[in-house]
Amino acid sequence: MKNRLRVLRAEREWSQATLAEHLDVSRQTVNAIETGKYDPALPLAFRIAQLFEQSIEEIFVPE
Amino acid sequence: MVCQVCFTYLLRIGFMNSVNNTETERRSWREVIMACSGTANDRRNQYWFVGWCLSWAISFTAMTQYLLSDHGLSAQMAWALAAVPNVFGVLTLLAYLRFLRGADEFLQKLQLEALAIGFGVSIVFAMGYQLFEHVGAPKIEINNLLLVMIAGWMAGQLYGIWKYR
Repeated sequence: MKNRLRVLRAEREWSQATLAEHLDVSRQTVNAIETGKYDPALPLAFRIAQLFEQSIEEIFVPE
Repeated sequence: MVCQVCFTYLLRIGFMNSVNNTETERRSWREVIMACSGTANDRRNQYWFVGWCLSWAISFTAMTQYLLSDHGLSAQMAWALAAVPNVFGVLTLLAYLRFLRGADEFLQKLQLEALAIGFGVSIVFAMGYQLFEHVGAPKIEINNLLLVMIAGWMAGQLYGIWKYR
């Protein structure tokens, strides 16, 4: 699954650590999601969507 | 157990430092390991885990030495002293469960894979080594199986860190 997390984060000039802090997850988790090595479960996906004020479908796109 | 404690302690030492260069795709091992620190809550739970783990190792060593040297203890007292390390063992287990439950979903996945590798490797080793014993390999004690399990768990953690670096 592709995602726009890196782009959205870059738009806000956040580091991965900052985003991880906002989402209350580890920085490794953010990195794994951004690089497509890990797809988050629904609760975390919803938190990401709420944080960036977008729908899940706008952030995560099936390949 | 001592190896596990040392490994875990070294990892936690690395966790205490923050990673500033977060945008680089390829990271050094030190950076990768440090990135696994999790949240502040995870770190606090990890410190508790390491603390109880060290207490367990120390009490186990101390009780083993004490009980092996004959002090003329009554049977009840000897049984009670032998149970002391198990208390720390249970506390270590509870601390690990607390860490696991408090960790985010990705760290839980990493730990699950590491535990599966550790468990699987020890099962394969235990089953496989029986055949080697039939053809002349030296008999091993159950302690050796525990070492294999711990080594497998540690290797599983390193594999997870490397896989999702």
